[in-house]
Formats: sequence, structure tokens, C-alpha cells
Amino acid sequence: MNVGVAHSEVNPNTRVMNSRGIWVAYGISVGALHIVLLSIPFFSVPVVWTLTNVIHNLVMYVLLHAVKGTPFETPDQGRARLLTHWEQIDYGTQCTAARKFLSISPVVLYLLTSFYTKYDPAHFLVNTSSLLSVLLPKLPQFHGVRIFGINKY
Amino acid sequence: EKEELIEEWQPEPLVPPVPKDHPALNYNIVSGPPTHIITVNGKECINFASFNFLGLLDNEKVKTAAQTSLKKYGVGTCGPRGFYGTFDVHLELEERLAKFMRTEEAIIYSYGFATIASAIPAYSKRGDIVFVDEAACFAIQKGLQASRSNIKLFKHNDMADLERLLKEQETEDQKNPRKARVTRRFIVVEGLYMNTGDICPLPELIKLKYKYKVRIFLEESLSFGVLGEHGRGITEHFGINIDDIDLISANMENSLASIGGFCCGRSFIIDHQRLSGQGYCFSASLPPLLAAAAIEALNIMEDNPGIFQTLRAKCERIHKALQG
Repeated sequence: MNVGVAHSEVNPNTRVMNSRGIWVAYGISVGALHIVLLSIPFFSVPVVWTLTNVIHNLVMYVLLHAVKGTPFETPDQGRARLLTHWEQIDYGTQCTAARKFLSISPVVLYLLTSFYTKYDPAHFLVNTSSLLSVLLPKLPQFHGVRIFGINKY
Repeated sequence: EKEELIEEWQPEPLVPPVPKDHPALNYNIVSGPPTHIITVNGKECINFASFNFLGLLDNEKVKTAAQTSLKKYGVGTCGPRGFYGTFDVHLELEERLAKFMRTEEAIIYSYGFATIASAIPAYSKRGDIVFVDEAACFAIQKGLQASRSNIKLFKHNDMADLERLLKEQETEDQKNPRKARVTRRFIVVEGLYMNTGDICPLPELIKLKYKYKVRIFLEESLSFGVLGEHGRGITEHFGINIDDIDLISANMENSLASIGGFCCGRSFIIDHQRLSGQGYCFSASLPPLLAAAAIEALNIMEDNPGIFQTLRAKCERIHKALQG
């Protein structure tokens, strides 16, 4: 990839979440997911909102905190080979704009979901645990932390 | 008073005074081309100071081929291999080298030092382990430094030391199998060491390779065109199947009397360097006249396999004579 592209970015993964239009695309895709789930006739509105929240958090966890490295070769001899995409954003600088956006969006989704599920206890449990699973890895204290050695290599 | 000081100040001379017979002032002048016989200060001497082992540097056929190519293509290629710098002579040289070394594919670099210095970082990254001989040449050292991998040095040609290191690595791997699954392990050795003149014990290395599952990178700069019945290097010298070695990298600047270097091996290994060999993608390609000279030198090597016997006989004679 880096042979034909004439920019000086060593690891393009760091800039992907700052690219033009990606935040809008992100919002639209979450909305599209929600509409698709709403169109399934078996699910009631609270179930659909919980499902949206859970699926969004699951996909976010897998893409940002589980998959490591880059899909292309970088000219830095593999410095980011063992880093997840979240840790690669902006080369590890904490609290940048992209990081703030990606931290706030699950919270917003959680608030909407808890409103639409009418604060039902079962839904609350599922949604809160899902939110925690996606918020904890984003804390600056958890940068590079692998609990119990899971996903370390 | 300041002005007085300024006027008194004498700057120190840039060059301290040297006597008239300082060796740097009276250098020896070479006239004529440097071949087997070199004319120094008007006196004809035997040239022991170059790596022109087969004497192809002054060969008429090689020179004619280079001059024809110069008239046809000009001097330089004005581009890297990926941007209008690939000429038919490059492809022909790569094919000829692959056929000569009996491997699947070969790749040409335009500078001999950069060959192994680009080949190593193309495969070995941070977190990978490379076992190197202590007496590895400077190009290998720079390649290892660029690769940012963990280097483990073993004593020169000491297979017991290497086995000890490999065993230590194996115990560490068993402690952490998940880490072991993502680290790549390489052994980098030279066929004929530039620093000590020894040959590496390749059969033992192959045994260690299959026992401990490491890849071997063989640097054949000095042994290409010197060892082996037909000059194919140390693999022919020991009678080893060339597929056992994962990558052979060599300098064309020694026996082949050209400039540049090549790597040869299996297709899927060599193909990787076409995009991640830094010296291949980001340097201008080999000037076509040098590629033509290398092809002609290969022709000579293939047509007269007797020159290798002559070379070996002469080496043994000198060695015996120097031992006294």
C-alpha cells in the first residue's frame, strides 16, 4: 500500500478516524443498523434499542479493541503490530478529537436506549454491561493493558 | 583594550604543520585499469587488494558487452524498478541468475551493500529474533539494525553456541506459546566470511534449522563464483539442496565483476522483496551496462567451469606458500 501512495504518514491507521466525513458515516451507519432492526416485525421497540446498543458496542469492541496491527505493511518495522486500532489512533496521544467522539458515541447511544427501554431492569443490566465493556478499554489508564494476557500477542 | 586583545589573537591553523614526507602527502598513484596486475607508481604489481576473484573485471567479452549496452541504453536508468526503470536486461539478468543458482526467482539490487541490508528488514521486524554470527559483515549489521529485531549473537562458526541459544529460545517459547506463535526466527550467516575468511558449517546449520524451526538467510557475497564445482556457492560446495536455504543474498561486485547484488530463493519469498525491499523500491535500478556485463560474466562462468578449479588450485598454492 505504501509504495503507490505519496503521503508521508507512516501508519495511516492513526488518521482514519479523523478523515473527512467518517463521523457522519459512522452516525449514518448506526442509524441504518437501527432502522434495519426496527423493520424486523418480531422485535418490540425496547428490544430493538437494546439490540442496537449491544451490536454497536460489540462491533466497536471487536474493531477497536480486539483486532491488532494493520492490514498493510508500514515502514516503521512493525511498531504497531501488537497495538489495537484504539491504541494506534493519533500514535497514542490521549484525549484527541477522534478519541473523544468515539468515547461519547456509545454513551449517547446508551442514554437513548435507556430512555426507550423505559429503564427496565433486565435491559438496564445488558446495556450497562455492554457500555462498560466498550468504555473501559478507552480509558487512558488502560492504554496497552492486556488483562490476564488476553490478546497480548 | 579589547581591540588590543583582538589584534593579538592569532587563529590556530586549520591544518597543523606537517613534515614534508607525511604519507598522506605522497600517495601511490595507480595508472591503468585495476585487474590482476596493477601498475602502482610505474611498477607492475600483483593485485591482492581486490575481490576480482575470477579476473572478469578486465575480460574483453565483458567489456564489449558493457560497451554495446552503453551505446544502446546510455548510462543510467533514471528511475526505480517500479517507475520506468525496469529494462529487459534486468529481467534477463534475474532469469539467468535464477537459472544459474537453480532457484525459482531472483531479484536484482543496484548496490551490493544495500542487498542484504534491505533483505533482512523486509522479513524481520520488531519482536522477531535473529541469530547472527559475531563476525557478520558490516552490511549485515546495518540490515539488522534497520530491522529493529532482537539480535542474538553466537560465537563465530560455533554450532554448539548457536544450539545453546536456540535451546534457550525454545524454553522461552514453551513458557509463552502465544508469543512464540507470532515471532519469526532467522539465522543469518555468510558463506565465506568477509571478516575472517572462514566457511560456515552449512550442513550442521541445516540440521539445526529443521530441529528448531528457524529460517536461514545465507549471504554468499564472497562464495558466489568461488566455491562449488560450477561456482554456485557454498550450497554446491557442500552438496546441499538449494531449497533448504530460504534466502541466498549475494554481491555481484566480487566474482561477477559488476555492481549491485541479487537475492534468490523461492518465488513467494523473493516476490515479497519487490514491494518491501527498501533498496529495491526506493533506489534507481541497476545501470543496464552493468546488467549486461553481469550477464556476460555469467555466460563466461557457465561456459568455462574450469576457472573455478584453477582458482582453487591457485588459492591453495598461495596458502601453502604463505604458511612457510
